[in-house]
Amino acid sequence: MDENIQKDGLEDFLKKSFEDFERNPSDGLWDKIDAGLNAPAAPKIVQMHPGLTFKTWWIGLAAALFLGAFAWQYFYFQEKIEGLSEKVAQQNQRSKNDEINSIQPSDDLKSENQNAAVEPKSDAIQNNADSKNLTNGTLEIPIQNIESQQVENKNARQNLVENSFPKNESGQQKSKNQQQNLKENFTKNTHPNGVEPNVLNENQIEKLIENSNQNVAVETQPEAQNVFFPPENEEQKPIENQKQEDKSLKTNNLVALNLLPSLGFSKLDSPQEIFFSQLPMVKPLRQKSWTVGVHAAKLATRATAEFQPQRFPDPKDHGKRVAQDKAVSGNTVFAGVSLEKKLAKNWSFVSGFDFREANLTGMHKAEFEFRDRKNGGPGPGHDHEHDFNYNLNNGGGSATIEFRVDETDPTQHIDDDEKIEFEAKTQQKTQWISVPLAAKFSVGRGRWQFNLKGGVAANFLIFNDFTITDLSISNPKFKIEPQSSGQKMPDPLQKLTLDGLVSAGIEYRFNKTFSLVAEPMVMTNLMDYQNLDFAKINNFMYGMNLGFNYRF
Amino acid sequence: MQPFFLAPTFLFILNMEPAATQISEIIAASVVGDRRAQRWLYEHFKSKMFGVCLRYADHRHEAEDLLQEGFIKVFRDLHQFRGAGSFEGWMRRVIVNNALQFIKKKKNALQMTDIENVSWQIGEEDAPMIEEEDITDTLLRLMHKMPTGFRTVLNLYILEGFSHAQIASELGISEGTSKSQLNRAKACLRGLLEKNLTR
Repeated sequence: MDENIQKDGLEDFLKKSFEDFERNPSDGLWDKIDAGLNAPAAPKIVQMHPGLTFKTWWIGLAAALFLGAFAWQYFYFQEKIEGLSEKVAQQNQRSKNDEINSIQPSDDLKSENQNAAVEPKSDAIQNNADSKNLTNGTLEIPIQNIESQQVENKNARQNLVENSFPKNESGQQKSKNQQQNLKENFTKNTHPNGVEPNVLNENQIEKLIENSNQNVAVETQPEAQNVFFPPENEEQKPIENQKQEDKSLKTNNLVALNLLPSLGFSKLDSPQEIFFSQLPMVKPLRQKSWTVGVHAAKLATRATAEFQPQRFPDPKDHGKRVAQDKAVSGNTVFAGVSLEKKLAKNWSFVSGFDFREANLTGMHKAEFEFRDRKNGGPGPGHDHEHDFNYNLNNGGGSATIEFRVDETDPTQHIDDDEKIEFEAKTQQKTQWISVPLAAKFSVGRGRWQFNLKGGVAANFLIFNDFTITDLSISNPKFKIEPQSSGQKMPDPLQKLTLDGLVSAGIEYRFNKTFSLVAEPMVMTNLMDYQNLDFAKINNFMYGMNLGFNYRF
Repeated sequence: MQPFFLAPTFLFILNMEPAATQISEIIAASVVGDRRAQRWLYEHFKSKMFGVCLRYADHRHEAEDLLQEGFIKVFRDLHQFRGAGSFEGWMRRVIVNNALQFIKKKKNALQMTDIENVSWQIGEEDAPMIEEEDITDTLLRLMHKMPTGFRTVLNLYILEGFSHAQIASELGISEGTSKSQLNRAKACLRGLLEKNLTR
């Protein structure tokens, strides 16, 4: 026995000692078992993923906070917008009334506008003369009609000029005062040109509308700002040049100012946009900066395990060689909601919540030699049956595979170096909650937009199932016994992983609010999916994401 | 129609060994709750399974508790046995898993232990002469003197054929810990055996 317990023989000594080790328990044990079987079974607590309860809790809390904040800001701004809409409606009504009541020829506007830009008072008379030379043919008719009104309104005009530019003020101060007057007039939505209804008939208005479409882009801030409020530090240009430049501006500016209340606003979409455009500072038209959407995607997926050669195969498994192809493939589908915030003209930040499910299958091959069979085998009476086992690790998961094979010809001698190749089919199903964080670049015209998106997705594992679906053997000298099985090992997947995502797609806008998105996308893992310290899993997905967006 | 003399209950009454083909019928009867078929399975496998429990438990009383709980789990989960592998192997796995769960519940049972820290546990007065008893009983008694972590890794690796990766997964430890615990367990057992042999 001393020899048996030497360093190299201890394991064999123990195996032989306990090979047929049997002892009888107490006699009354069956009665206890019988009583235990009669008792109702305690509810089985299945904790598939330790710690999941906590994670589920804080994921739920995060989701609730996110949705709560989203709902609050939505209803808060919705309420404000509604209030503003009412104001706008009132202003529009007042604007119409003013349009009827106010009488101010367009050349007055020209004069004031030019005065605001250069030399308010001295050029006012010159501008009166220029107003008769407006080259816009469409405007000639109203201007001629307006000329007849000029005499009647001369006193009123003079009063306006005098009120706007007191004689004891310097030119710069006058200019500032005039700007302030213009702001106030504009804020009050009064029409400086004040065209009377009987001056422009309906046909003429229609022509003005047509021309206005080719005229100054009233929706663009820089031009509008220059028209109304030129920078105060702008250099004074020579009068002659100024006049020539102003001629071109005058026409556009005149039309812009003339048409802005009655025509330009008609190009806008929503009351709140009108309101914001009417603010004294004449801010840019407010754009819809938030987008919420629903989307779904299907991605072809391939996961490959790379094993460190010095750690696998296990030294204990002497002749065993495990094939290096550890890939599993299948599909990943995800669906959820997205939230997008426009940060700049072309840039947005995108986030949201997705439910993600991956179904991956794989074919795992392991090559053995006959000597790799387990010692002992199935037992007496089964001399031609042999057991093999090994640990399967592929891109989908891990399992202990137990093969039992029977010799097809018991009379045939099989050498220890006989090659035996086993195949195991695996199936893995995983479910995740995914939170994407991405930057999006958009560019396009009209209804079509091109989107380029890149970022990461944080994935929280909520379910994982890895099973062996089929076992087979390639060596004709053996046949596989139905007792062979695959036994799942504890879940080795990480509970939190990070993916990188890139997509390039197109967006079709039905209107300013709704749009449809189709974007091919590619995802890959930035973190290892498995906890195995001897293997690295590479995951690659590509496919199409379809979404429906609502902007507000 | 099966002859009555091959029915599991009849075989049980006669305490006869059934043919291999009848085992599946006994199992099927046990699945539906036939207590006599279950009793037959218990009587047939209790000695082997108690031997397994003795290796994992600290003492005989604990081993009987493990056997009792293990058999209850066997009968309750019997419907999950689909004929893949031998029934004895499946039952053994259930018993071992139950023992591992019990061990994991024991506080600090799987803490890493150094051989120096357990030398005091080898009480000379507790070590009878090895000639006075069966060698396996002696081994078992000495294994019971080992820390639970040592004994568990030794059982799983040498006697159950688990790999270190499997042990690591089962016990929630690293492979390196499993290997080091095995080496220390073997050194510990070797020391215990030498001490007994030299007396």
